[in-house]
Amino acid sequence: MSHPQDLSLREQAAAVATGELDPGELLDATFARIEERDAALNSVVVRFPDEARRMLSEAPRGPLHGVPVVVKDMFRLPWYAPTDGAPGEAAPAGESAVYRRLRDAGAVIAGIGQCHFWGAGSTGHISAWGPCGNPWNPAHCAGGSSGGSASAVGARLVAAAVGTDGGGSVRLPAAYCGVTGMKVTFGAIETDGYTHGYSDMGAIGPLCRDAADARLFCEVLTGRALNRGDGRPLRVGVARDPWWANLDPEIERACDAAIDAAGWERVELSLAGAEHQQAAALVCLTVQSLPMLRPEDLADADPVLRALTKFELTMTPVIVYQAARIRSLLRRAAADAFTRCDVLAWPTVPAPAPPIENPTVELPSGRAPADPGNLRQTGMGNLTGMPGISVPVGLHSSGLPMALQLQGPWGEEARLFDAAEHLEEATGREFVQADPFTAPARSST
Amino acid sequence: MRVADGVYGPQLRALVDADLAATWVEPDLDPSRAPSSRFPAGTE
Repeated sequence: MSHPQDLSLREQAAAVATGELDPGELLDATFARIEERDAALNSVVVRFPDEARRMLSEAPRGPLHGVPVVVKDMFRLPWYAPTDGAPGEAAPAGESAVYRRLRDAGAVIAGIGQCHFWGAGSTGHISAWGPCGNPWNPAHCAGGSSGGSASAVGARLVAAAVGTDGGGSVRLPAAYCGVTGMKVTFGAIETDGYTHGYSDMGAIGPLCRDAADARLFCEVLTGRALNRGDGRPLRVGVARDPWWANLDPEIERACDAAIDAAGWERVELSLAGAEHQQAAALVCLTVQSLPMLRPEDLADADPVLRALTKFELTMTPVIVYQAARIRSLLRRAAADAFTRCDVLAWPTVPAPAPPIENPTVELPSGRAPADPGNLRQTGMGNLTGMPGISVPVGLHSSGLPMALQLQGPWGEEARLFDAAEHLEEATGREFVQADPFTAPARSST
Repeated sequence: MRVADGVYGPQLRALVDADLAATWVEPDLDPSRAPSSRFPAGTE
């Protein structure tokens, strides 16, 4: 047998269930793989050899019995106080809903995934844990804020990891690392014990190597069946402005080609309020997070985050109300769009993962910080609450992954998994099966 | 702070200046579901 972490999540679960794979050996092999590959990445920043073995010894015969997973540094565990990627504790140790779901499924928590400082960035290069590297090129960003979760899955340290997404933080690192990441409908996964559970922008989500694994993991996290359907006969809404504008040309071509390969019917449309959605997302995220900051948090903050926070503190009540108006407008526009199409599609990120040393991206408009363009591509999902999935669709000439984002109506996660599985099949599953550590395209620069 | 204003300032100012007087704020906004059918199509 190949290394057990080269098996998919569902293959690991099946092999343990049939007795073909000993879960203790799987756990040992997982920690060995982390030891072997993570020095260059810094994705699993805390490891739980003792707690994982205790979980395994007590694990029920659930759907993930004996399967190791990673959780982002934003969830309370009985033995671990999450930090949000900042110095100190963001919440005390305890049981989160995610922990209970994993425990009851028989899964084993092997460690904590690195998190961008406060969860407030899409690159993962700023964190009290240090930056997280991309499995396709460790000198480039894994993304954020769930960068550790995405990188760990992409590097095949584990087959599944939990992330959170307040402004794209599951979908963006998934795109950067070439894995599949789903932001569920707001509230579809319980937020008890999630450090940003106060926000009505934030949702939790699975990161896995392909859509079938993500579906299985999402079923565990939501506690409901997400039955497989037919992802072929879909109408895909393409809203050009602003989501298909100012993109890296290779990404635009790859995403267009993926839609063509899927054979989906295209429906061109526009969404009212779209020109202000990026600003509205920033305002809504800010308004909800600033009151949670303690004075000592700001004093201890990374200088970049401190400067951004001071800027955000200048926002006025007028802009907060304007953002609320745009949010309402966009929700109505999305609901109307779903009467004409089954899913919305646009690139998850406008450019591939930037270098850790200089997290800026080259766009047709010029070189720019990665965060604003990323938030433009994902903020709509958080403002509206609708689910979204990032699906790998190719490798850029730089050797880094490219991804298409699909979003669907509220509660329609199964439809998105159907669409993603069909897209994988239509592209020969080439991009979800690649191992960055053995693929010839892997860059070392 | 100047850098942050350079990156986000123009879009935020455009949002402030946008004429949204006719746009209602959804009264019972619940992001776990679609807008209520009682909420009209975004504008008065």
